[in-house]
Amino acid sequence: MIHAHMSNMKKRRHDVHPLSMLIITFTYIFVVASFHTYAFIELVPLSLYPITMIVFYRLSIRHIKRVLLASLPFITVIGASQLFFIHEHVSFFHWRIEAGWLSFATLLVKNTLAVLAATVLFLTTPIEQLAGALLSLRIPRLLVIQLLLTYRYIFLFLEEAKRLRQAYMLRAPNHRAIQLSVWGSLVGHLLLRTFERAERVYEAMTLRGFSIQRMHIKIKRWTTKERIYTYVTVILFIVYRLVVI
Amino acid sequence: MHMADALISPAVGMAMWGATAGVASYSLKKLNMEADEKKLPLMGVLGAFVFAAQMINFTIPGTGSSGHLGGGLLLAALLGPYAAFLTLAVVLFIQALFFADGGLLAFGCNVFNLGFYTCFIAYPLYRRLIRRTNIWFASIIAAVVGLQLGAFSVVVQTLLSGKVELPFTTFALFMQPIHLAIGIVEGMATAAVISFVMKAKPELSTTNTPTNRLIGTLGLLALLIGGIFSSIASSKPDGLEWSILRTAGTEELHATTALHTALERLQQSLALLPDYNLKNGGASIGWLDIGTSVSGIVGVFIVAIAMLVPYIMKKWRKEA
Repeated sequence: MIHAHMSNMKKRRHDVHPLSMLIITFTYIFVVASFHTYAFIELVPLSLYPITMIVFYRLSIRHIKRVLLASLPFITVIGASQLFFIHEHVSFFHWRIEAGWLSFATLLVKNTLAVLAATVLFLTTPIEQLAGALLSLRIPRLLVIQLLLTYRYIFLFLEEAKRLRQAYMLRAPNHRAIQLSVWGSLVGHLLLRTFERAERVYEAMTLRGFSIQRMHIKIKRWTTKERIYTYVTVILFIVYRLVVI
Repeated sequence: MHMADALISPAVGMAMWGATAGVASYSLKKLNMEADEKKLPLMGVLGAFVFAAQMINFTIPGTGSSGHLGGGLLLAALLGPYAAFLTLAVVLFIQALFFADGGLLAFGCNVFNLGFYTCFIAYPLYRRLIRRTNIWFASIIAAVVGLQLGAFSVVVQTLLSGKVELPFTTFALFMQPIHLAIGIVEGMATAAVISFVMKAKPELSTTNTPTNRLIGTLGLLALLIGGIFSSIASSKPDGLEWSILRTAGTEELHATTALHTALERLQQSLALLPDYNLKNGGASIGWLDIGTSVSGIVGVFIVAIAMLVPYIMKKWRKEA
């Protein structure tokens, strides 16, 4: 996950402002979610936005595929249930098909588009710039700092968790998972180490003169060109939604 | 239990964003971070810890399968409800944005379903139970209650959105038992970690409770009346309707002008729960009318949130 993010950070040009990306992504998801249950055809043209972004920024297809697959199980179960609860028939081009299938397909397309839009935002926007954009949207500073701190430590802890699991599995090769009694103390130890790390982080921050109000988060200037790009894209999405009902 | 963007309507998504923003502002005020700046790095690393702990699966006793920690109740037990709610909100934001687990429009729903019930209902229950029983019982009951409420919210939010055709009873009967099992597993995992930490570092448990006894009791009473007793409320007309019935011969007056008809149609399309019922009507189990019960519970939450807003604004004004 982190590798896909990092490699995209290195190779791309940062020419879309994070605030623009945030506003465009939210509007896009809002528009996608607003379509009705059978709007399969109407949703297809909206795929142009994520596809263009993926191609233009040469985003990691492997990462996108993994994220899309992870989002599928819940939506597939709910979508498949439509086959049992909708018994009407609807016309789709020249065919008459069961409405349940159309509803299922629409749900899958909606989910794919929403996940693609969020993934494009994640892969094209560095976390510090996203934090700046959130601050300019008046999200409380404490929450933004909290986001940065959590993100900073996630990958460190994931590595540690992987090592713990691997060490257990090497000692108990026949076990599919860790026994609950052992798991409690294993994760408990990880938690205690977390507390010690939090103490050290706090001491290091205090020594550098840290305070919530003084912590510097760079807010990139939103130029006129970027504003126009954002407004035009947002208006395009909204107009499309209003025209295609 | 993460809600996806494809399942909710923009109206429900934005309403839940609003509710989450309200609870988050209230938590921020109550937390008073300026006085306890040390908590900030702790919240950050514990948020990251939840991600890591979710990677380590454990065997569920008596079954052949494995499960992992959710982390909400554990965070509340270690940080207190306000800090835990904010930490969970950040964890869910990272999950939605970076791992596509739950949507961005559905973010408000997810924070409410997984954070609010765990931190502000399950956790106070856990604290009460732990004084009288052992940690395992308290954790399991609290986790089950939190997850049952969260799962029920998913059902209500999905049905209010109207993006899928799912009968209320079928969906609820599918969601609630699954989350009963998940709740028991979550409770066991939470108890296993907390009992280890209590032995190793007893000073880490928090004593912070969010609500006093009166508010808690009134809230539970309101939910009970709204959720269950509303089904057996009188079907006879109320005072105003009775007066109209006596004078005009009908309970409700119907206007016939174009403006009235247009406004009535608009009201019908905007109303989330027309006539205190679900849009597609509600099923019933025995004497319990599900549509009316859901309307009652949703109403209680809307009133509770509406009551919180002036309180928060008053506090803000005072501090300004």
